[in-house]
Amino acid sequence: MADFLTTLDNAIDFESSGSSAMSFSVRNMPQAPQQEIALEIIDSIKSKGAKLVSLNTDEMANFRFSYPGLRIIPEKFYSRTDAMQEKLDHKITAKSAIKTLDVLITDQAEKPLRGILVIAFTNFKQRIGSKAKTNASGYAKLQLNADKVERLYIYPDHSYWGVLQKNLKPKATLKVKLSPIDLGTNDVLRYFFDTRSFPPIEHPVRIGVIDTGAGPHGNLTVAGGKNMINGEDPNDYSDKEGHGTHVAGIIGASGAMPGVALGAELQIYRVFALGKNASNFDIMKAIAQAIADKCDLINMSLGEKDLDEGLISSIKDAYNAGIICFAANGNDGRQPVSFPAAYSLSIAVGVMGRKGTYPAGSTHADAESAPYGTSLDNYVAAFSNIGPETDLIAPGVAIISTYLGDHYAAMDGTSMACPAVTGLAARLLSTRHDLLGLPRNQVRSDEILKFLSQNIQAMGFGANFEGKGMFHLP
Amino acid sequence: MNYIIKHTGDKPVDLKKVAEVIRAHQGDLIDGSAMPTMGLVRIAPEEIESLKQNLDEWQVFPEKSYQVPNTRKKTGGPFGGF
Repeated sequence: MADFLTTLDNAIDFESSGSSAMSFSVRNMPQAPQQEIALEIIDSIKSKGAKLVSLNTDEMANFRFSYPGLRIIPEKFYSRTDAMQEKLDHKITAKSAIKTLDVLITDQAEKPLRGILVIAFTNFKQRIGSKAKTNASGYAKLQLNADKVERLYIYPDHSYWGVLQKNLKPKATLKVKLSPIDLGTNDVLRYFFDTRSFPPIEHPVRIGVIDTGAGPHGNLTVAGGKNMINGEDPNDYSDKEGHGTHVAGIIGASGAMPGVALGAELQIYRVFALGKNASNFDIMKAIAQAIADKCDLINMSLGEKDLDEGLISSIKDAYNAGIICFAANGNDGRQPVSFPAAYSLSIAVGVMGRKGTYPAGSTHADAESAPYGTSLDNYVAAFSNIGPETDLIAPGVAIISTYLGDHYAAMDGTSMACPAVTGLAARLLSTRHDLLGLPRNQVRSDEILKFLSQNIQAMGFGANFEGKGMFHLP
Repeated sequence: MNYIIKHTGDKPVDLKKVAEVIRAHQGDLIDGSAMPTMGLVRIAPEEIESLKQNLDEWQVFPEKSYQVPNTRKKTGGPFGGF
């Protein structure tokens, strides 16, 4: 059981104060009208004020969807400020290179491939290794401190599948031929959602994508946007790194690998300067712009560890303007859900994969990990952050989507699962003109969430990993 | 250090007064592109409490940075991380 503080933004009258046990019917859940959420009210600030409740963490996602707009804050405890010894996190070593490993990367026709990132680990646990990019002749030179390479990762930026090899003892040049990505592939997103057969969405839904920018790409139509970075051209929201183009394509690309919500109006807000992190100020400006642009949904495939009151205020502004924010759980490997995903008014998205939807021996296979779902081929990706704040899960391993230069790339991450959820929400919402036509306020957000909650299916991973489950389309 | 100021009140913003208050705390408005609702101010941390008191219809938040989640493996140790 976990204790949660709830504040009654939605003016739900809990009647009772003091310590009592209660059951709450799950609202608007026609599939399971008999379902109830058991919780215990432990303390209260006035009869209609904040409550301290005890609630099973498995029920958190259910509770949030049943009472959208209710602020749910985990109870926290502060430790005493005793002095502690410094932890020894980094051991100083004096190892030096004993050999050079040459890796030659080519395509299937043995044409050398330039600019491919190669990482060799001689000690994976301690993350000791070497990295290099291939030159024009396709060679990468790696300095090693051991004869054995525990793991060798090859990461092409686009067009080819990545490669993972384990326990190598290379004597001479290591030659690796990369396999091209076939745009007829059924990746895990298209395994669950046959986007190639989806018609464009019925009614325009406007989605704000806060990212590195997006496009230009021949199969990605962008309705508008703005560059929020101080000192850059406000009208240039094109992508320089590829992440935002991939994210936007998952939502709304056309062509051979269509997004889940083809026809959605994409508003792109660039907040990441090239090679740099994003300021919360620029993200807050982006949310304010998305509100001004009358977006319906916002996608944030970004995150950090710590809570941020500034961004909280902006997500609250968006919610009060009838806009739902979706955020990535983070990729730190079973760590707590990142912020802003962890904030109760944003929808936190974890990531799942499926065996057989990428080549064996590819870097993507590294994500395979328990728990497995109702179908044993489905798994929660090893890198996915988890916790009771998780609301939903979506495919996000080896997702093929648009990339810089009219290319396509296969990428992993909650960054990929998040736009899958945002796009599916858009597709579901596009059938509900009545909801889209509501005045832009908190009630609109509440009603949208209640509607979306009727289209979620548990995948068998457990609430800590998947929240309420994955969106399904009728 | 940089801080975000965000207007919360109902009254129209008096930008001249806001600029005066920031200057009085030896601060600089380094990004005014979202004014009159938000601004980014460079100011010494010891001035913040006083600034908050003098900007009574504004919220003040520290600037933070966010990263794109990446699943690629990173190296560490003597052969250099990235």
